[in-house]
Amino acid sequence: MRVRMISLFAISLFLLSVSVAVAQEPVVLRMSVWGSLSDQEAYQARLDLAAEQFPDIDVELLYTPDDYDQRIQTMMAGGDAPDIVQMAEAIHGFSSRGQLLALDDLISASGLDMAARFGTNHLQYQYEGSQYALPDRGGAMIVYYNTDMFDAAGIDYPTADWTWEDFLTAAQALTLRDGDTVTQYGFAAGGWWPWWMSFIYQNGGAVLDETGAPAFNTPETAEALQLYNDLVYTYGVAPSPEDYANLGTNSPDPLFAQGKVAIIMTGFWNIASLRDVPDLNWDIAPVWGNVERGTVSFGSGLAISSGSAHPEEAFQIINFLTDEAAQTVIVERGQDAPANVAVLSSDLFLGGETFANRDIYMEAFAESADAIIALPLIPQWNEMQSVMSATLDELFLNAIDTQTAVEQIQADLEDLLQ
Amino acid sequence: MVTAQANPNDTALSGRRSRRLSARRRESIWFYVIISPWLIGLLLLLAGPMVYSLYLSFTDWNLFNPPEWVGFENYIRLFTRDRTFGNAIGNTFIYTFLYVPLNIIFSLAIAYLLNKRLPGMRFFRTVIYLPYVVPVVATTMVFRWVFAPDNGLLNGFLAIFGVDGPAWLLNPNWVKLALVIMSLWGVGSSVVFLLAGMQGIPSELYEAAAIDGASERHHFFKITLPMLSPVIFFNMIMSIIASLQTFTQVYILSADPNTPNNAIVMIIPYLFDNAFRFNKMGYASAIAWVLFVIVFVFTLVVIRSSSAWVFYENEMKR
Repeated sequence: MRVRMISLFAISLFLLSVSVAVAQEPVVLRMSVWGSLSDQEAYQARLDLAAEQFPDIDVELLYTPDDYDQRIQTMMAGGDAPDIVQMAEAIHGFSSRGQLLALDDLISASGLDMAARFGTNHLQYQYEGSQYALPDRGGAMIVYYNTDMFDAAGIDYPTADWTWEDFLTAAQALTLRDGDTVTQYGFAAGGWWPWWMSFIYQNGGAVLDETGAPAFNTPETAEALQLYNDLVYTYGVAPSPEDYANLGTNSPDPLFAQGKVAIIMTGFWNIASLRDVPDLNWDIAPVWGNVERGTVSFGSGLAISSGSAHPEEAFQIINFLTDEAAQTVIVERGQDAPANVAVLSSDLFLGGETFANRDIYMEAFAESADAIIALPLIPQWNEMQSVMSATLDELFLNAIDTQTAVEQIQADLEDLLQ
Repeated sequence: MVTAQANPNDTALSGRRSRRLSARRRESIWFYVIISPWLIGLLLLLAGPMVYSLYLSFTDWNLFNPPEWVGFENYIRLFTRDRTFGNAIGNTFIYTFLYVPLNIIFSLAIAYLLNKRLPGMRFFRTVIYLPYVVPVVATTMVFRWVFAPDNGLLNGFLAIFGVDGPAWLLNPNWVKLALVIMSLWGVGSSVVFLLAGMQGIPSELYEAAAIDGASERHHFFKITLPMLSPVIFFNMIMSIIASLQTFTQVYILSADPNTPNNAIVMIIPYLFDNAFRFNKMGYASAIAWVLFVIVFVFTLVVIRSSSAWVFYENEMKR
């Protein structure tokens, strides 16, 4: 009898210890991100903070530098989706197919006040009334300008009040020639959508109208694209695709770093690339406007794939990553502008010295807030980009005229979205 | 008496025959055993997916929701409304019609030269084959510099002759020729087959011709070329299929935002975009089947035409 009692006790003790062991077994989540190696390090640093907070949740970082959307797509199709996925403009291709989890219930259960934390930034990640991602990184496209070149040409630095006229005058004065050869370009852009699209919206044009129907063939859009092309082929203040090929690059950023361009437009990340360039004096400013101001917000959010076995834990993690402590890491590392409003308005961010090695005009980001375009983030975003750029390639090579281009794009978009 | 003698002979013969038959049957069983990995592979990994993709080509499928039957809509769209597909077909055909003949001419010329008995020939043969070993990705990256508008190698070379070369990779009219030139750099694989073929031509043929006073030109056109025609035939079919399926070069070059995509897009890259960037698996399957028919027709035409120009030695013996 006694032996039996003991053995029963022993068995129950054993079972208890097993169940404790099961409870302590950490939940393993996988989180996929893109970017450079320093981006990967920044994400890891934030996950390390999360690990202190949630010792029972183990998050493994999957870093995919190239062909991100395709890779995620394939993993999801194979039933091997990461629990947490970084998402940007292509998000609603995923959310519209039910590959991402609608976060509304988890948000309300956690008591997270979206407006207080993100302002209006989270609205772009809503599809058919549901929230599909928490904004993680943000930051408008801004102007980078070479202060030495502006000083030499005797021109005032750009401000939020700049119009196309101010911009063009400055770009012309900043372009230097040696005979027929341009030795210094006033401006440099190209075929990347944020550049030409912001010009279209600055002129009151749009890609889609409020009903979601294509609205590309308008005088406003044609005029904007005409000016954009004239910068290259009429005024000669910006490099053509052929000039780029001769300069051995397809991007304005290295040209700016080499001191060959006075003005470029790009995102926060360029600060980290430029801060250590010797003898390059530069500052940042908000992007100009014409009829209205317009710039693109380069954001990305964190979403949970619908196939995740641990949605609650995944939400705890993304909730933590978008909260102040983890968002501060983004700023400290100079990785990006944070999506968290409190961090965005913190002295750390506005000071800028910690990550830029100089006193730059960090208010440019706050001043861009009311100029951010509501991007047409439809599920067919990738295909829409492909359709538009196929025709714009020809326009930017000056092989077709602007009116033909806008008519062709309008027809292609109507065919795509019907 | 004849029949009495014949009878035991017959049974002995039939016994031997049945043993021979069983040996043959054993051989055929072994044949199927040994070939079964490929047969099973064909049925499971090729025939199965092919039939399924034929079904998918009549559906609208985004990889995640169940396929939706749409009849011939994908095919109708491809041939009536899809401008990009029209460009893709046109570009692929132009590329194929430029590349295949040039590939045959260049590979023949190079193989002819490499067949000479000169010191250091092994070195030259290796050099000609090397580019084929270089991955297409690396080749494409290097050729970006070769094709650079003002200071590229090619235009620098042309400038010596006073020719102002085009912006190869940016000009919609020149970019396909640029792709052909890039592919011709890998001509070594065709050369290897031709060289092997040339070395297999019996020297008696040349000796006999030489006695009859044939010139070097006669040697090439009356002996070498006809004797090589089966190899040329093989190279031709392979290069037609390969160029109809061009992918990597186009994929890498299109990643450059300045490349004129309408002028460079080809069938397989467009298929890839539809399948993996736009998630239109049904539509991509329809493109795959159109390409299959195109490849099939091209190959059939070449095979049918072969009796007119391909010469097999054993045909003559028969």
